[in-house]
Amino acid sequence: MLVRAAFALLALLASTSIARAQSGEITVMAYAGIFQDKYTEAVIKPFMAKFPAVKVNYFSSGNSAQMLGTLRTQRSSPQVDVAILDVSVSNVGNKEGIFAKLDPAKVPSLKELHPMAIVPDGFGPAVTFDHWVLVYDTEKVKPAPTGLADLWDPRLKGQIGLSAMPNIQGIAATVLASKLAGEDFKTSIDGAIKRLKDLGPSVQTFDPQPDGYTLILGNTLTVASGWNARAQLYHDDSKGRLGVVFPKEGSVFQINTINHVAGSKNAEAATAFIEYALGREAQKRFTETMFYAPTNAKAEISPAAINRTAASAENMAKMIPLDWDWVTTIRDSWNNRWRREVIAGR
Amino acid sequence: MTAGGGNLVLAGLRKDYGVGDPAVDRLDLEIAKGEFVALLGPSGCGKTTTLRMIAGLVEPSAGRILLDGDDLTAKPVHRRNIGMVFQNYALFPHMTVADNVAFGLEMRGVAATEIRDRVAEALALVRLTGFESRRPKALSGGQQQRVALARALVIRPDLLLLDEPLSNLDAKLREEMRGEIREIQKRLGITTVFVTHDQAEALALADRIAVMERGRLAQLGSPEEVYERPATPFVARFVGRINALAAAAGGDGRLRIGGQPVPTGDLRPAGTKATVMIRPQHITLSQPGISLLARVTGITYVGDVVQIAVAGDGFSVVAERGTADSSWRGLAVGQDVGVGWPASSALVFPENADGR
Amino acid sequence: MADDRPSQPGLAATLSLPAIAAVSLGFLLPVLWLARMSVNPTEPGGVLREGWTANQYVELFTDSFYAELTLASLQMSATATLCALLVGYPIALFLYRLESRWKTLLVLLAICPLLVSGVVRAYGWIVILGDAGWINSMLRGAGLIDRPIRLVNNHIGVTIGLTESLLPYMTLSLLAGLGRLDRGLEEAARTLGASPLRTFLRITLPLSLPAVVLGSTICFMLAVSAFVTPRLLGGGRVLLLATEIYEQALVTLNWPLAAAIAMALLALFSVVLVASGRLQRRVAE
Repeated sequence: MLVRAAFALLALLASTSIARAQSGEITVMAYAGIFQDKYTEAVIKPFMAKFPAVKVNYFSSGNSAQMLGTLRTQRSSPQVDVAILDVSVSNVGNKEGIFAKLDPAKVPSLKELHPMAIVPDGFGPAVTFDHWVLVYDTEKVKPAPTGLADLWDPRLKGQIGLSAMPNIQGIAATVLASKLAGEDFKTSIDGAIKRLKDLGPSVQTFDPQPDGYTLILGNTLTVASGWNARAQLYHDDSKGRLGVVFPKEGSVFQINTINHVAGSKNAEAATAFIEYALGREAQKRFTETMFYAPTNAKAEISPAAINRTAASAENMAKMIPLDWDWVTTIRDSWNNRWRREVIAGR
Repeated sequence: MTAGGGNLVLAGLRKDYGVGDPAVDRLDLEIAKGEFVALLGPSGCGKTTTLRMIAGLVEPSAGRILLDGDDLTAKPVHRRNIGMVFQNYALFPHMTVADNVAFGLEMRGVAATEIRDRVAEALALVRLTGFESRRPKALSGGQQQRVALARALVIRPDLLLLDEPLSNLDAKLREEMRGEIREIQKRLGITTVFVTHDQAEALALADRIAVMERGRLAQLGSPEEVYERPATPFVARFVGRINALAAAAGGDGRLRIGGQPVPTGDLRPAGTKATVMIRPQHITLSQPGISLLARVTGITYVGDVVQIAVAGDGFSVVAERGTADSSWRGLAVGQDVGVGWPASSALVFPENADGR
Repeated sequence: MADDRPSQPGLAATLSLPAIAAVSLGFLLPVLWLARMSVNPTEPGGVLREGWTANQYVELFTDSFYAELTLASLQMSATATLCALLVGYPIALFLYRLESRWKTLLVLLAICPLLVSGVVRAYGWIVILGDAGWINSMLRGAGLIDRPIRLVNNHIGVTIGLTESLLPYMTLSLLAGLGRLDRGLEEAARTLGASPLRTFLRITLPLSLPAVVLGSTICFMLAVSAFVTPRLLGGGRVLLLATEIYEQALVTLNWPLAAAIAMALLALFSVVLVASGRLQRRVAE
């Protein structure tokens, strides 16, 4: 009762900050910053050009968990129609009934999606694929690192930024370190933890703020973990100073799903937007703008762009499949081992 | 209880704060062992600054301070062995009365048993036996004052400094404390410097009074000297009430007011302007025609005395009569009277004697 | 004959309604919401269910990790509070005694860091303390070290950042609490034979203790609840109760656990407040 009442109160307060979805108007919630700029340019504006009757508002949020938090408080009266967020978080939303299932008839592009993009039970599928990369200062690190294994190079001591758990980059790093140790992360991560523990003292920061790319360009770090899409943008912005490495050990996808909020005021327009976002045209344009790999297998991406994402056949073969639903079951225990053994160095 | 008494010499003492005139300037003063001297003056005359320089709380800009021949000028406060009573008493609120009094002894490393005895003795001296474990805030103003006195005396200082110690007490208590301070000072024979702006207090307490004006010593003398033979019109005005009349010497050398000669002891070169000052109790009122002609403008009855204001041609004075003396009872406002005074009681100062 | 005191309890109650409403809305309601949230069950991954469970509290009191976090929080907060006290005390004393027309300006200067957000100040510290920061550059330039000293992304960095962020609060509360300190008392002690050091130890310090307790209490609570500075300057190495709440709430999505830790923190605050109140009364004697 009390929780309901508090939710309602918070929703009331929150509703003032979000334009109420009117007929012909939808609100899309997704990441802030450069993602907002690029997504507006590559997807939202063309969508509005194609459907002039629908106005799309962009509600930006810092991270996926914050988005889910906002949606939880708006349960009784959702102010958001479509949400783009990390699959580990959208899974939670699916289980809590925050997101609605999609009607395959109204979202024909579902049939064109990559198998890894499909979320069970008809919930919102992947809309972008990103992957874990190493970024480095091309002026200072020579020769260029080729993979995770190179971080143990003593010359990099104190210059490494490695996002630790519970950040999902930490999950990817654990998986890759397991591969390096020759073990199956699904049964044991002992070898990974041992290796990461040895690396611990060399790590300048386990929580690069604001992010590893900025710290490298600001001369605090020389190598860091990162996500490909943003890394590619920083690569271009720094005129190549920031180098991006697809690790030779392989990589792990970070998946953003696109979801229809249950109880959305404008279901029709929201579904139309989801279909458009998953369609070949939008997928091609966003990949070429921001280097997220397309989830629509039929999207025809320019070779220049495809080579800078995980979508090239060569990279795709090296991707390590990760069931994010399974990850939620082991996340706490992995997190504890990071904290107690890797970070605390015990 | 014993207390040391020292001979204090201030030589060419000066305090310059860097803005305006110096707060104290060219101050020379010698105070004999056991003597009680009051520094008297209006606020801002430099008397408190002088006291604080003696205590060591203010660093002199020039000059020396000698106590029994010892140059104190560069000695830090805590090595001077001077007892000081502050205007607001400055009792330590977090200590009991006994601890307050014991503080100075503790700082001197006196043994605990001796401290206990001397604290008891000091509290007995100020009649506060039994108040040992009280906190200062649980005491009346007069009691606080006495604790402050005991605390300053218990260290057997070479010199006792009192900074307006009575100004926070009500009138009745003030007179009581006045007597008590004087009595204790006499009994201990301690050299004492007392700062006050209250001339009655200074007259009643001090062996000698140093009247200060704008940082300078205006006059140093016994209460009688300062009161009866003030060195300057400023001193005359500040110590006791006085009438001031502007006069000019006529051809015969006698001073005249509005053309009429007035009684003074001396002759002046013709045309000299002067100020004639007479204490109100020396003014005589008589039948008109005998001396200066005036008219009664007001009669104020203030209890012990009655003040009769009279005005004549170019002057006005106030006469004072004890109420026991019935001569004033016939007077009424508007009545013509003759105003006079004994020549010996007239103080004559050259015009602008204050240099203003 | 009318009583000249207003004897309308109804009026007083009416007048205090806005305050009651503000406290209820601003504090009581969120705390009740938090308490309720802390007993909701969760499923793996942070799936939130409505119901009743004590699991979060069981975890809190049985997993030694939370005891370690609490200890780390207390240690870090106590250290930063002590550092802020050591730096802030002389500043407050100086400002309190200052008799200058610049006093107001200097007081403002002492508290003006409050005008800059904690995030910006933390980044400022990174610039100063980093491996390529001012301090390391200076030490290297002077030939004192050949490898940078790690001053940030660890406990040292967080301690420095927290101390700096507490300093204005410490200075302000000390200034407010120094009211009982009268210059005349120190002068009296000096005339009674106390050296400057003994005057400080016997007069100034005891009389400023209520201010010290007040300032330390405020700063300790602020330090325990600070999470921006530890996150930005800790390099992921400094794990505290406050950063744990942040992570559980906004990264791993375990709201009930975050709420349970917050409730524990609230209990800790109550203990600190009661202890501080007792201490305050004792030192004020």
